[in-house]
Amino acid sequence: MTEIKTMKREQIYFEDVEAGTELPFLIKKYSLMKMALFASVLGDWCPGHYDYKWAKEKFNQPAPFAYGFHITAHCSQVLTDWISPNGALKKFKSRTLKPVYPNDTLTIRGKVIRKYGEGGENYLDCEVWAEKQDGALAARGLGIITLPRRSQ
Amino acid sequence: MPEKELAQEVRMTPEERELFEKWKSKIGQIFISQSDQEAMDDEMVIYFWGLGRDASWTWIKRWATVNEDYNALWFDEEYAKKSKWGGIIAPPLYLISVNDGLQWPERLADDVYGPGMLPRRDKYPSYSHTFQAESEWEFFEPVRPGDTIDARSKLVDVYWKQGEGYRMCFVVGETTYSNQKGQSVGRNRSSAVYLFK
Repeated sequence: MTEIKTMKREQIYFEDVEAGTELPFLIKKYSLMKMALFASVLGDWCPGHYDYKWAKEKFNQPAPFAYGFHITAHCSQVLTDWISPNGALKKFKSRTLKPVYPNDTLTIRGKVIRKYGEGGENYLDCEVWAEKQDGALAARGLGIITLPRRSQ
Repeated sequence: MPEKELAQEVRMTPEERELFEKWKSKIGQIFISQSDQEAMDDEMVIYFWGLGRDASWTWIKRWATVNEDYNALWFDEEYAKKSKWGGIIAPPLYLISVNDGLQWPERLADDVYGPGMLPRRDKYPSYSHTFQAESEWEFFEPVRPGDTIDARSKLVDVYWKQGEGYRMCFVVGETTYSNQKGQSVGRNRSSAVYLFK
């Protein structure tokens, strides 16, 4: 295995963020190979996700379609990338709205919609959404995260 | 819940109503997973539940790599040690690999599909297809290399809703995750929709 170049970000602090703050976007390109690899870690080998014939005949889809959870995991990454290392993802909810096929590209974006303190924790509610290359909304989600304060 | 009130308004064939009643009667049941060996005996092997149950660092890295998520917290012990986590952790959504929460919604598919995963059009001519609708996750403790994560899935709701062009039967499962220390690691609520024309 070749060495992986890992991502280390500068910590974002609660004080530096407001409702309306946009998160750095993330780009994910889908391919048949990536979808089959995802099957191998999910443990769901439904051929509709990597076999053109199955997708067409049994699911009435033009091509194999990405697993909903593949998209979910990608959408959550826009949050974990942003809050690392010391922020925490507390809750995450997502819904897939459009099928994603091989050669599709998703741009995943996020925005802070609420900032509040509760039980000594510094919370942010962030909406997350994934757009396909044609601008269509493929998934939508909501994450609740905590961030450290500079003063802590 | 308003969805349940709507259930009465959705038109159903007698076969569909029978299916609905059968599924509803399972609400509250805990899912008993097949062993991998039992699964291999099936005509069509689709699912191996719980691949990520033994959360080795190798498996955590594999999950992260497949998702092209190269956050140093999952890979770099020295970096992770200096963080609030005190060491390597798994990405929160790693729990998908332990159990995606769709055991119940998927198992009920056995009633709609016949051999070779073909929809039983004889019994349910209006049935179109099924897709994952929404998943909701809560994270209480991080998964760490070496953890063993147990998951229990319960069927919590089955209801109908009239959609645009389709009648939709929602099947909702709730899964709880705990580690070898007995700590609650997370919780998931996932639903699948069975679409009928």
